Amino acid sequence: MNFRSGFLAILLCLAAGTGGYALQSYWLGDTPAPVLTADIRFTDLEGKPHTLADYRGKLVLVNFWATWCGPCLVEIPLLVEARKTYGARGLQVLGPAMDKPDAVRAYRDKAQLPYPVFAGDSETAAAMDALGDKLHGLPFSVLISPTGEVLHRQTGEFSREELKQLIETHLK
Amino acid sequence: MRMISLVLLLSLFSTGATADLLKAEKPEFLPVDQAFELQPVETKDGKLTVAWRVTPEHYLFKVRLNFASQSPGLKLGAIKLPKGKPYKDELLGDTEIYDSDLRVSIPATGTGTLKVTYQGCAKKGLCYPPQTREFNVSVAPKKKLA
Repeated sequence: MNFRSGFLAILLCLAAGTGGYALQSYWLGDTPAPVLTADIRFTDLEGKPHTLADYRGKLVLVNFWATWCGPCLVEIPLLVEARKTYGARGLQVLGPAMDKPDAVRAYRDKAQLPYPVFAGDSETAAAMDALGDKLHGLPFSVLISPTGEVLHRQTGEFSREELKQLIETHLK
Repeated sequence: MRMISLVLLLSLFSTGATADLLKAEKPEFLPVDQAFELQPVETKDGKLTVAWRVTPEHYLFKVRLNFASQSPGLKLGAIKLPKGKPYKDELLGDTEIYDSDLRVSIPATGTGTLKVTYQGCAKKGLCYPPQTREFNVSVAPKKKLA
């Protein structure tokens, strides 16, 4: 095998590997299936309804959480930091909680969350289902493109590096 | 021909290896009923027993366990929960957890519906919402020795 054919072989391997991984991911369900996100509804702490369509044009990170969920509270400072770092570049963080409004209000005020939070057990569970959650475990996060497509689903906590990489990959 | 075979072999290897590498970083989480397998309620000698099989790397919070009668015909006595393992939780502070199989025996008499509430998490960073299950039970009084 000369140098040229060796180089060609490596290129082919990389292409096949990447393609194979994409196919395998799709079959295993890692690749988010298309979801119509526009109609997904949340109610804010003042009782005002919101839909994901209200946030079209932004990269939206929906982080499902609860005040009874320890890992969620560990993760929230990362989301606050992400909102502060990337907000001006078009990142919108939303925090629907599977929780009682009073508990969410108390936590929001104490932690001074710089992004909208919502509360409601059944509404939040319905939104999680609609966005492709299968476990109803928290935290659960979904990254949605400015045109409303689901880009990424994450069950469990983000690490700081993981979140940074994800946002920077998709933020134009 | 040798060249094509080599390319195919390396492609297969790189596909699997890349996929495994990326998937290995993501923890796999279980549905709540697999994480905490609630067993059928046992009733015997004036008491009922509620038991869970707790899957390794998961835990239930002691303070989030609750047992209540939903029927006037079912009376529950004082509930003494087993000692849990000390645990520091982000919200609850110093608390107790059960990270292995758990059995709770409750003195009881009569017939009716028992409501069981519990909540737990996976140690890899996922919490399940509070769960409620109801059981229809009938507890015979404890037999007296002749």
